[in-house]
Amino acid sequence: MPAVRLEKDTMNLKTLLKRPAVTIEEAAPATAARELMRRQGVQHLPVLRDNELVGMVTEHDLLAAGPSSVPELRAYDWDEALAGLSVSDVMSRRPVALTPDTSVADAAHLARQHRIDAFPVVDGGDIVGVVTRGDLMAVLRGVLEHGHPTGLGHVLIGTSLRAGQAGALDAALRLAVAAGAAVTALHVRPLRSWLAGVEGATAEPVEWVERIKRQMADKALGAQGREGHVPELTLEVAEGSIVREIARRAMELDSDLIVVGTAHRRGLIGRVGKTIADELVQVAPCPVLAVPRGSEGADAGR
Amino acid sequence: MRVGERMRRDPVVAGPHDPLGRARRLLAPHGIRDLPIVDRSTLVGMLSAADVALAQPSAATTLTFGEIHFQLGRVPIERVIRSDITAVGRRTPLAEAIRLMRARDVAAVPVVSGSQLIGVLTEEDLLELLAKLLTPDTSSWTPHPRR
Amino acid sequence: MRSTMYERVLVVLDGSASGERAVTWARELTGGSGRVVHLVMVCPPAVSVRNAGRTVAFVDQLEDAERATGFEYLDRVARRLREDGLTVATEVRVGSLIDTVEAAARDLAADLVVLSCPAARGLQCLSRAGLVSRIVRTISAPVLIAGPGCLRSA
Repeated sequence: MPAVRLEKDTMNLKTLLKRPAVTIEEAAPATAARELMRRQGVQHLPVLRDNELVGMVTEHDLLAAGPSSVPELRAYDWDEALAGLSVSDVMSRRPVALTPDTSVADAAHLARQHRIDAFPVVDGGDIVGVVTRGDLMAVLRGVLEHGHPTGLGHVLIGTSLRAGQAGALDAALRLAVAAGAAVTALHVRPLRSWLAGVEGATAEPVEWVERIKRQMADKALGAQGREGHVPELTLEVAEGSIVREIARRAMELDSDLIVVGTAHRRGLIGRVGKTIADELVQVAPCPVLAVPRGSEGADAGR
Repeated sequence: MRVGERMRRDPVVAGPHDPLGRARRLLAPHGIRDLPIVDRSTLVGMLSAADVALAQPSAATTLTFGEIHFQLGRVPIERVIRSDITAVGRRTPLAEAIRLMRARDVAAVPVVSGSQLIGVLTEEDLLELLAKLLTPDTSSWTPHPRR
Repeated sequence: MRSTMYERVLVVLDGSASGERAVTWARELTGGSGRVVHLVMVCPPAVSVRNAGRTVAFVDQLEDAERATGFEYLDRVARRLREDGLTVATEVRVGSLIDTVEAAARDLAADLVVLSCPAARGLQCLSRAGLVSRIVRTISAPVLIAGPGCLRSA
């Protein structure tokens, strides 16, 4: 969307009027109003009688006048009778009209206070356009859109004892740096009763923590060189089902993104071929980024 | 600026099995136009005043006013709501939320954490923000920091 | 500042608003102008319609119709993205979801695949459950999925 040059004192409705007004006669049939709105791509029509503004008719007015959307109530409607309705039967009277030099701030204030959707804009005796809430929202969006911040505030990386997580770590850190987000790396160990038979189970979490700390420090330094921002990093360890623990922590931390590697789950009957990522997607409270092993220059087995 | 800074917490809500009559009673007096529908705090849809209006029979119906009221009152909300939800998060940038609202043509958007409803962002609140930002004497205009 | 990590993003759509979540998330992760976003809509393969022993609608007729509708939809979505300065290409592919996504990712040399897996409707999301690992294994690109527990569009 093109940037809006904002001159606060002079921002008035004139800058929002892009097209000539589309109006309709009070005596016109309601169906003509619907057709006109459809053709012109508008949802609000100023209503005239003898060239004088007498009301506004909106798409909402027409919808309310139409047959019920609920089947058991529809049976009692006569579609033909609808065609007998004219604009004056459905419009609202005494619209609030504004002038081109009304400020946008005042228009926003009025729209809110009086619950108005659209204003006809009048200059001298002529209707020169319509300003809608949509137009006002577009202005607000232009005012707010500075530097395109992202919705990423917190990234959670889920890891387990399996190798090949370096790619996930790398991806998460680079995303976090670019977005200015904080990162938590969560290492989940299986419950002690499951440890027998799982490869690498005897490795202490402490070793893992040291290893990850080294990796993160390296990458963070590398990242800082590029963007000048070092992401806030936290390491945590949990025990239990890896999918459940990651989902739970993401909920608690209100994470915006979960990043995992795609190492295979092992040792549980019937899960051949499925990975942690597959199951996590079903329960995660935020999107999941599954990063393949060996990507982003990761070292296998580190 | 992010959604979390302007949203309303503790919005008025209704359940999917509640009758439409209840929704009507909630919408009208509070001046709310959009009602989040939740099933034990999980968001399942949004009901707008327009959806309720669509459910009303036309002026040409043969039902009496009392009949309309009675029939409509009994229809469960889940029959009428849109279930294709557009929602945002606490950290979603406000500009992005507005863009979504315009794209979907809605006047309010639910704010969720995962699938749990935590608030609502309404056009009314956004209009108030616009008026405030554009009024010279009551606001100080500084470009927003990156976060 | 938006992330500048991913340059060639493949976004998989199915025509629904919940499917479109993928688009907003893709925007979050690609940043502004210069990034290439491919919108691909996947349609299941058509089956010819027969009536009283005669084929009334042929597979290629049905698929052409699906392609036309799909393109219209993708154009609407693409327009919004282009307004934000992104380079967008659109394509409609017919086939099974997994095979089509794999083929598209390979053809487009995607460095990120984004898709939305909305509220589990019986088998629909279950069948996608193997999707993540399959795609990642085959094309070696990261995959971002917005699942049923994540209602946010952005």
